Amino acid sequence: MKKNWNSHFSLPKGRWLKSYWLMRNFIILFFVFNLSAFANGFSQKVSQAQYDRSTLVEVFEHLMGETGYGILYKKSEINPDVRVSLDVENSSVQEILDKVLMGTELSYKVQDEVIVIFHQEKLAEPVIETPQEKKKLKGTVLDEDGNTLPGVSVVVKGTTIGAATDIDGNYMISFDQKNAILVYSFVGMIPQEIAYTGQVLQNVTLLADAEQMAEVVVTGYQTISKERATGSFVTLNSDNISNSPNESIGDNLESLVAGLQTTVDEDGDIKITIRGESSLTGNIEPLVVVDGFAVDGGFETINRNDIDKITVLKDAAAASIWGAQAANGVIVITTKKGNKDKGIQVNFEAYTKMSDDVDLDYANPIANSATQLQYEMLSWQLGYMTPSYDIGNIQSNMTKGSELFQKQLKEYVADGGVGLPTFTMTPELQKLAGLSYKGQVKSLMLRKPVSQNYNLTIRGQGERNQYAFSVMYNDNKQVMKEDSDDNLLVNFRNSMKVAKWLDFDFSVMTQLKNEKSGGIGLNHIKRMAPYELLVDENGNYNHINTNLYQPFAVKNKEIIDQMQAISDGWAYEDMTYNPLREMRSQDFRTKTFNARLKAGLNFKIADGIKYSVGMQYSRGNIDVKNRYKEDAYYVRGMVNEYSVADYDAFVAGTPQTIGEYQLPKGEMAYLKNIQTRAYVIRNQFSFDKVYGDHAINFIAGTELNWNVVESNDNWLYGYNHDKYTTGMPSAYTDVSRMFYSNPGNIPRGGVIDYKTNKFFSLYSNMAYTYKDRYSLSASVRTDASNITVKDPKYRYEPFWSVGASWQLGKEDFAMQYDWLNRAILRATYGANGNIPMNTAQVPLISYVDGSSGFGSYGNGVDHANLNDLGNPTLGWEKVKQLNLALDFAVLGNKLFGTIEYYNKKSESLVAEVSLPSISGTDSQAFNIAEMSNKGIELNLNANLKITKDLVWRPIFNFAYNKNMVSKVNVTDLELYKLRYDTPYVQGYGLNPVWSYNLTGDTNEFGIPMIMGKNGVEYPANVNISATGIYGPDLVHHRGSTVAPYVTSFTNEFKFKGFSLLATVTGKFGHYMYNNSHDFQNRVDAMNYHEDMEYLIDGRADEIGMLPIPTERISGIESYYSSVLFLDSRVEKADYIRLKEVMLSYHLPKSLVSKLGVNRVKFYTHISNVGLLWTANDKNIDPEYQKGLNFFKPERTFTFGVNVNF
Amino acid sequence: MKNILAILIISLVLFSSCEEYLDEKPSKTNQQEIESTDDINLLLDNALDLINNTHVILDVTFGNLTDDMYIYDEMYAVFAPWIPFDYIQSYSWQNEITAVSDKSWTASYKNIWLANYIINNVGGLEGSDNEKANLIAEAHLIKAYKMLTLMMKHCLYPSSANGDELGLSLKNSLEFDDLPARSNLQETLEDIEYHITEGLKIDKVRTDSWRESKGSAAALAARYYMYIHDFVNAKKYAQQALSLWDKMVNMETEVTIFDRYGFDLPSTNNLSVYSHDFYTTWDSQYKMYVTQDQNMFPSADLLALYEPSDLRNLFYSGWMAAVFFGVTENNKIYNKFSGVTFSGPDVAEMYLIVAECAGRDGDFATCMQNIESVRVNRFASADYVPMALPASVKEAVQLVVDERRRELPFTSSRWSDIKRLNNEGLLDPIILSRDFYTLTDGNVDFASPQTYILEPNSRKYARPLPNEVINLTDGKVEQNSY
Repeated sequence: MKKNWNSHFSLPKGRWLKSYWLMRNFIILFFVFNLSAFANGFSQKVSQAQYDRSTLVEVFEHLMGETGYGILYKKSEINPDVRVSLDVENSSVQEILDKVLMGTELSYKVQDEVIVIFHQEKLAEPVIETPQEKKKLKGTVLDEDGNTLPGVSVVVKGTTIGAATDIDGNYMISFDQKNAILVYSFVGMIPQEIAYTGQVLQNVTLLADAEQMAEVVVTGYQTISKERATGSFVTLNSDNISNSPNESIGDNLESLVAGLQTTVDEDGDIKITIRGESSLTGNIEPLVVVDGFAVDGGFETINRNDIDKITVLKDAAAASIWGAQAANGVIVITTKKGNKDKGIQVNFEAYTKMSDDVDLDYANPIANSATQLQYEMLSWQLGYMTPSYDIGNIQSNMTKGSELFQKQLKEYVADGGVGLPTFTMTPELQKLAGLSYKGQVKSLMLRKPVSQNYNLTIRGQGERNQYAFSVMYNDNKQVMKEDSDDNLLVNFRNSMKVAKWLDFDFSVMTQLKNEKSGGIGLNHIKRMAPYELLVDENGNYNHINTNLYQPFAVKNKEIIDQMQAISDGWAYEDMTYNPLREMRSQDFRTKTFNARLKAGLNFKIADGIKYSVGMQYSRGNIDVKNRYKEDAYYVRGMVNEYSVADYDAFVAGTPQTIGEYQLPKGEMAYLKNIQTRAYVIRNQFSFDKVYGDHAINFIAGTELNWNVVESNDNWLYGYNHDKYTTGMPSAYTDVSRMFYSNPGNIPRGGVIDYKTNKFFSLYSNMAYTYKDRYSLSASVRTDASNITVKDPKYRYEPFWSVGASWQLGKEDFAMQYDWLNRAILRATYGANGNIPMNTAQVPLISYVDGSSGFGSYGNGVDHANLNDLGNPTLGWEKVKQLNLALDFAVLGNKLFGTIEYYNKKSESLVAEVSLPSISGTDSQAFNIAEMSNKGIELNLNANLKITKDLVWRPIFNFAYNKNMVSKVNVTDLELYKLRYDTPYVQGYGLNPVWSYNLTGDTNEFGIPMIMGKNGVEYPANVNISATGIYGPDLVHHRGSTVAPYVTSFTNEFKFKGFSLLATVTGKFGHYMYNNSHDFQNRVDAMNYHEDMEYLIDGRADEIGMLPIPTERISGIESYYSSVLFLDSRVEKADYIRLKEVMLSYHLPKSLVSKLGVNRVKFYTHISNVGLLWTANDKNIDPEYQKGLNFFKPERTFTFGVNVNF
Repeated sequence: MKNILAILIISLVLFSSCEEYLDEKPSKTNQQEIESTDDINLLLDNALDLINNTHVILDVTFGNLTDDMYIYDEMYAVFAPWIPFDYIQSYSWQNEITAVSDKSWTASYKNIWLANYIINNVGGLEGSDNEKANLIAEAHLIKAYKMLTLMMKHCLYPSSANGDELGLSLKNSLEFDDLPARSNLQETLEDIEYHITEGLKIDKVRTDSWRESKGSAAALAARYYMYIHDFVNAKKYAQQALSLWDKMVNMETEVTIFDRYGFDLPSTNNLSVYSHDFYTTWDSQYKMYVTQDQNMFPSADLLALYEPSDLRNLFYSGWMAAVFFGVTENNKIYNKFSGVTFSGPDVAEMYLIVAECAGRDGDFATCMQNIESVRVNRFASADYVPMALPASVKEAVQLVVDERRRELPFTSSRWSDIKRLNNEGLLDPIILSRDFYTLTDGNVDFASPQTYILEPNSRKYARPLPNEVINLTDGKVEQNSY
């Protein structure tokens, strides 16, 4: 019974032939903003209404067009046989409706600018009956945020007795029944039942039905009712998005969308994938679409506060409309338009983020000073270290400790010693053992990251237009003291009704971003020995030995001192290096400007038939200006290096005076400019009609798309930042150098680059629904591009999909189950594409300027490299996907969700595969590889009212993905490649993790033995890679670095004005490599892994490592590769994390209205709260492993306020 | 209707000229298609492709196959980590090499592909006919050189009796899926001879050491005919080559000793490997080819061949192993150019070809005169003493062969000499032997010493093809049988 009743006012069961904007505004109208007018407060006149045997639907459409008001009705309730004829002028909508609906069973209600048509008989209009020993009940109905809800229907269950709330949300109802159950329902909200037990006052809070709010899905090309969609869509509304106050929206998608996974690489870049990776070498990230057009640069140019809805398209049918770009799924974002309210809505938000101190020891897990010195002494003693003698070693750096050991060697040799001395820890060395840079680095170079964020939004409506304007600004201070950035994002969107048959939509996005950096980061800190101090006790910079090579190799200071002892006239006498000083004397700035302009015309040709032209033009400009001020080592080193000096005199130790500098003294600057332009033009025809039980939706269109990226760079010498003048080196190529016998080249820039991709696409999409229950969909698209080869067989390969859905829950046999509110079965299959990367159609050569190609190497004449022999069959990568799904809602819509199964087969993937070399090459990129992703996704939501005021809304997501690279024949796969360069191996899942065991024994030379997978034992000092045996045959496959199981559990509690949100995420079933001492005995190693402390202690077995040989052994170099695959290097990566907690509070309505504002919300948010559990016991956060190239994000606190005027 | 019309017009404009629109190349960067003979010239001028390491002048390695090399225990103890296992397998003439591929083989076939590209496509490129004809001849020479070298290494000696034995796969097309099975030796020889004939049509004098010329064509022909013991043609082309180019590097006057890291290094003008001067200074090659091998450990046999005053001794230095690794015995490494050896047709090689042909004719005076043309440049003038005339053909040939070994160590010369001479039987059989260890499962078993012997005319003289070729063609390309 309940079902029948609900269908009148609430949306879920009906197919509302409404376009998206209407629905959206209706919802906003009631839930987001306070209502003002109710009932007959509108008096829009219709200038002319001429109907000749029109259907009611036609009348409604006409009225909507004339007035701009929304009319909501349920298609199935409109008798298509009812025809009306009418001819009036200057009539009000009410007058017309009164006339038209006369004699039908329909009635209407006006709620602000929305007219709801409903079935008259079953819902009596709010009835005021004369009390006759009746029970009376009154109260107020509120939404979760405490806003009053007008127009809520209150009905005694099983009767036609009902009432509606007034403008203030108050209701009063009278009834006879003793044990009445009252049903409160409202569109877009979850109905609530309350038993009447004699109470007089019953206040009710209705909860928004997230599923219903997302009742339509947006593919970017069209908006279709979710009921009719066959594909796999996940829709998120602005509430979901605002629950994580980050500048970017990517962060919390993982916990909201089952099957979406974010991973962080070793440089801290975040990668988003949907349903696993579908390409080996191409793009694996989903396409991001904003208001109908794909955008570059991910989420960065999108203001979180502007987002109205995010639709994630996961399967072939959902995404196929995007054709060649859709293989990785699509994230469709729609931004908010102006609202239907006449007034202007202003929203202001400000928040501050503060992070805990970063963990330097975690990011740079190195052995302590004393341990390192012991190891250095051992290395010298065993003769692994090469001493630096003279200018020929100018580029070989060593630690301060090594310098002191080298001094012992040199003194020993000078005294006539032969071979090696017995090295000792001199007092000087012992002093070093007690030092550590950590305190100084933390206090002088690092800080707590902080950011300030502001957002202002103005939305409103004019006579014929709706507009939205927003400004977002944030200012971030990064971990490194000199690093900061600010970002300004301005959006404007305007929708205009030009004529009855023409809409014009226009929007502009502008982003201005400034980044500033001292050019010094964690990687520079990692290149210091632990006992180096940045400054001495007087605060002066110390010289710090480093093995830094880029952009300029730091010279061996001892050898510089030797040279300076016999020469003068150096451009810069000071050749000390210090990262702190560098940080303060380098000024790296990047200015980014992005603009996106969109315009669209929508022609309404006839009822249900539309034609639209849309275009997007975007333009980006990145300006890099990296200044090396005169104090920077780069400047001092470069000018000195290119001074004119007699190298042989330095070799011979003959004194000389340097007089000529080929580079001007003074500041240097590197400039780079990158410009992007992108155009999209789309023509689309759409047809959307209902004939009785048949509903047909059809679109077809064409799209032209092209983009251009251009860049150039330049080096400035002798740059004066105040006067904007520059000097010039005396030459750029073959310039003699003071520190080297051979000449070098001075960086000049001048590299110009131009890339363009062009697409031409044809697409069509059809959906057919019968009796609201059975839907079929089909789509086809072809993308031709200049990237693929010309052969039409490859160029015009079509992408397609078919799908079906069945509204099981609407069948009679299902209707009998009261607990079942919704059941939809869906199945789709289709093929999407992916753009091939890094491969060429024809042989490609690159020109090399003979004088600058490899510096002074090569024959010195202009020449060309043959880089690619070409792929004569280069086409799109193809991904075929089967999707099976069940959507359900049970127990009075309290529990609802989706279960999906998918099987995704990637074919024609471009990969470098082995060819027999007699073909001309041993490997070539072809569209030949294959991969599969199979998985299950579960999304469960509940909406539970625990007590009168306490609401609990849990969301549970679970995703399982099994990935298998089924075909990519690479025969030349030596063992060493498996650890770093080989994300895919035929017959294994992506990103495999490998290991072998130690046998526990040693051979006759005392070398530990490794047990290969092939049963062969290898001594650890053998270079196993060099056997040439296929790597995967030597090591056991442990699993993947990517988690097959991803779950999240988000809980939202609401209590009066308070709301508490906590998200727990978990990933399971994956593995990670953890680093350890690498046995590289390089004189330029500046520090060693923290595991060294165990090794020096002789406790290698405790951490599953090879012991340090205390005597010289042959092949010690092979230890480096042998330890890479030790069992102890592999850890389980499973974890459960409390990802974020957010507490927010809405000021009570009464207080807020006194302040003259609509709504005030305060919130605090904590991200990266902490790990709840990890499978590893080594204190490693599997998402951010130790020793990465960035600081692990620490717990971050956000405090914010959001005010709505 | 007005709007429908507008729509139609817009659509028409947009739909037209689609193919033209898509014809723009995706990139204007430094990744270009080959469009003219200039581009081909640029590719052939690439004498150092550090990125792909397949520049044309990169040659096939032979060093570890011959008795020029001997890996002494002391050196192996130090250098083992840098000596790949397949290198050891080659060194001990194993029938199976575990490594999947062989870089110098792959590079050779990539260059054969480039030669095929030039031969098949140069006609359609921009450029003059003369230029095109020369480029086609040059491509034939490149192909002939690569195939001759690969045949020397991977096929049996092409005697009159074994023309049906396996030769090389003769690949003439550019299609990746055209994977011809191996031809027989007779066909391979004919093919090489055909390419040499076409190559001899080149009409260019030697300008750059890394490009083909009339001289390099003749020199290659001389090397080829010498290998198959066609002494008439060998002599003819060697003399022709010498008439076009006969520059010898005098080691007394042109090679200087320079000091680096406190050690004496002999070189020409402080040449560092692959420096600009590297390509021009040591210019006794008709066309430069180089092999890269860091592990050229000379055998005691080889070192014993040099007289103490022979300046070529300078190229065998022991300082690196001694200083860095403390190896004091058998510590020599052939270090003419830090691990790089010139292996292209050389003026010295031509003199020695003429010498051998003369010696075989019994013209011992001419024979020695040509040998001395080489030797006179290898001693300080104060130390130079001409050798005595040989007494027999056998002795003459032996003198030439020894001089060839002294002059061209670690190149294909020694390997091809052993093969042709053992086949001929004029000289005493050359039996190669080394003491090493048993090789098991990718491991050197130090507990089990083993002596390896390579008998004359053994089938092992046809070294195995890389496994990838056999596996990826599903056996269509056959492996050598032993």
